[in-house]
Amino acid sequence: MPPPRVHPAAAGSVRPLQLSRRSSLAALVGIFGTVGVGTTSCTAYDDRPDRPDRPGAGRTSTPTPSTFPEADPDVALAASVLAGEQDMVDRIDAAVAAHPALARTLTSARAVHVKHVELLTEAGPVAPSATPSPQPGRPRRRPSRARDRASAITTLARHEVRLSLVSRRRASAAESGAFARVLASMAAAASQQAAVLQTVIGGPP
Amino acid sequence: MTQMTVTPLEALQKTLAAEHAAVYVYGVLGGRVSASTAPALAADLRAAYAQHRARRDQLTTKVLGEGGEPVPAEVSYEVPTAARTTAQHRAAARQVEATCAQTYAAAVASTDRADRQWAVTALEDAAVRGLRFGAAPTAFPGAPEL
Repeated sequence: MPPPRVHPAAAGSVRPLQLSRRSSLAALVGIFGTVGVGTTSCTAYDDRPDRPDRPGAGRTSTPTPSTFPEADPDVALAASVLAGEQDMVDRIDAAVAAHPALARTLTSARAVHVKHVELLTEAGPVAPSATPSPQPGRPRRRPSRARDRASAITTLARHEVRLSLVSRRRASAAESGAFARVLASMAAAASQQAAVLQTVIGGPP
Repeated sequence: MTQMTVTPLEALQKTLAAEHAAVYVYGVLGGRVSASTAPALAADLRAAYAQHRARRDQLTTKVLGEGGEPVPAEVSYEVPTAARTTAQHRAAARQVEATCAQTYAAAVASTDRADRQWAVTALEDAAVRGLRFGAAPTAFPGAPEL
């Protein structure tokens, strides 16, 4: 019997696209052009600056196209996405500050969202917040309990799910296909992290 | 090569071709894994097979809706690994999902509206499904160059 034919789409043999990081970044930079939108802090993905339960509540609102009338809609989208990713990094840092035993568990999630922030920053349309996010101020008087750590992970998993949902919507809304691809990838990454965190606390992935 | 040179119909056809390959590979893997000796893996492979079959059918409808002739499946495809041990089965499944994720990501870039939403959802599913077969989470599923 002759060996099975190799089909170019066969899993593992050939990547569908031969893209380099440079070309993908160039596509994003080309979209955003030279618009130098600087932002201080932005709201999280739900665009509600008054949520009391998130770090840095009360910071300035997300720049809108009306604030920067010359801006491409995708630039405003990028600002929102960057805010959401930075917010996730802040939440993880806050969880680790409150529960140092979670540092190792959350290393992967933090690294993922930091890479998202770095990519969006490198592509150029917006800058991350120059103001460090405020951390929960209550000093810990005792080692965190397992139940508290589990609760913290559950909360983070929920935020990953929400971030993924918002990023998927933004991917659908993006004008640029290249930018939509990046957003969809980020959304998928957040879903992966939600699944990982859920298995940590014993839930289904 | 850039994503934007691919028309929406071409993107759908490329994705359909990838689904044909995925359905074939999962069919092979499912036939080699015993539900009694590896029930969890067997269940995951069955679920993956069903999902890719459904996507294949959805894409066929989409291509027809765009006025295209759906690309047919090949007679056979190369399975990514020797697929004789549990580890090799899982590795093959991981590769399928990783390749499909890249294909879906490319489709996101080359489509809009409902087709793009479809591809966004498919990318998320592939990324999470890969975890079930032992894949490590990454910062940019489907876009390894980032």
